[in-house]
Amino acid sequence: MSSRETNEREEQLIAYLYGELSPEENEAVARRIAADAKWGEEWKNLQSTVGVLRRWEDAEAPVRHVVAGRTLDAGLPAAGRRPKRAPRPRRALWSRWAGWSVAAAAVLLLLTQTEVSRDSDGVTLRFGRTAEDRAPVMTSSGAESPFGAQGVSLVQPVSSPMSSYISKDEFVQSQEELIRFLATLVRDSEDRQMARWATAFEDYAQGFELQHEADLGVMNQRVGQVERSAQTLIREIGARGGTKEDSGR
Amino acid sequence: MQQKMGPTDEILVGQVLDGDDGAFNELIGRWEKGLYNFVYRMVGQEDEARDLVQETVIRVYGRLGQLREPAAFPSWAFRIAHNVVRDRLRTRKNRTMISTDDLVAKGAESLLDERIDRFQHAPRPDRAVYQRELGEILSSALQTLSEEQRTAVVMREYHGYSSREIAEMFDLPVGTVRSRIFHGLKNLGRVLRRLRLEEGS
Repeated sequence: MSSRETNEREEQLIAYLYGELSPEENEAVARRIAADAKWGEEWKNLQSTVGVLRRWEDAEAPVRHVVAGRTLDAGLPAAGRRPKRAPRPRRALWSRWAGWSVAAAAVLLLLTQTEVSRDSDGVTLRFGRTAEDRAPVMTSSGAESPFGAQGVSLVQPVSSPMSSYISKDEFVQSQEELIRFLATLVRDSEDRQMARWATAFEDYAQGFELQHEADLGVMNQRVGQVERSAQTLIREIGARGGTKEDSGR
Repeated sequence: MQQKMGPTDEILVGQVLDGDDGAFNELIGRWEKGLYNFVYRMVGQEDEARDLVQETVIRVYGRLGQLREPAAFPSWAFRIAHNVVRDRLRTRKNRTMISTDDLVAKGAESLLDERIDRFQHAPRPDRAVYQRELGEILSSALQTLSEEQRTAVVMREYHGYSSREIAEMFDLPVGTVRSRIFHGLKNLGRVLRRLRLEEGS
């Protein structure tokens, strides 16, 4: 029988044992058990073993763990911080900062480089740096205008005494500050990772030590058993030696 | 897996995360017996099982906020218990200076034979003593299995997880789980062959 057939038999028998087959598959396995000696023998052994295992009932847990305040009972150490819901994923702080910066810059740009005027043609918005770039982008006036009878016209651009409110140097400086901020975040993350490693090593060392003590206890027990067996043997040898001496007299 | 009447595990998990420690006591109270019996069957020693269950409960409490599907609390808690046991068994294995795995298993088998002899010939005590002695024999028998086989057999036989559920919990093919159960039961059958239990015991 090939190993594939062997594997199939083993898996099918377990699935059959625990009722994990469809009715048709069940019938097929039952027929194999009845017809094939190997299947029948394995099935009988499984049933016998499981019959023994199922005699073993669950025991009651010896200690009841109860959270009282911030500790677990039975003199156990504090469980640490109370569990909290995992926070919703948030954008990194730097990206929120960058986003707000861009939004603020856009608003300032709009306010400082926009001129609003009202005339007989309606409301005019002009924006831009230089007076030369005043090609109108959109004008709208009149009753059919989506902005009503007053209308709105957008023309580009308009000079503004505050057109350099956010200068190139300021922009470069803000980028440098952002880079320094990101570097701080990376350093903090590395420090936290190192602290986690240190804690993990401490836990491992402690577990190691506890296991060492447990192993020593087991070894002492075995040594004690060997000693007792040796003493029993010595007594028996001594008793037999005394008997022979008596019979020889 | 049956659940007692009352709030579901999912509701209790939510209450714990809202700061209700009483909800945690109720939640862990439902599953503590199952966790203890799982751990005891895996490690075979009561004192050690007690320590490991304590560690499991602490981890469950501390990591409850990381549970993505509160309705899957039981299998998640059992998974934590399994990890705690696995870490302990690996430490124990690394510290074994006396013999290799085979010799350790053989040592457990000879100890098991002695226990079976005592059990067979001792006068029949009351039910509690019988269960304790039988438990000692079967936990010794389980120690002769590999950790993988023992986990599969215990989860399937004593805790009602299907082969598919076990496969999902440990990210294994279903066939592998069934194969481990088969070989685990076969090995158990071999070491328990001398054990004869009276009908109706």
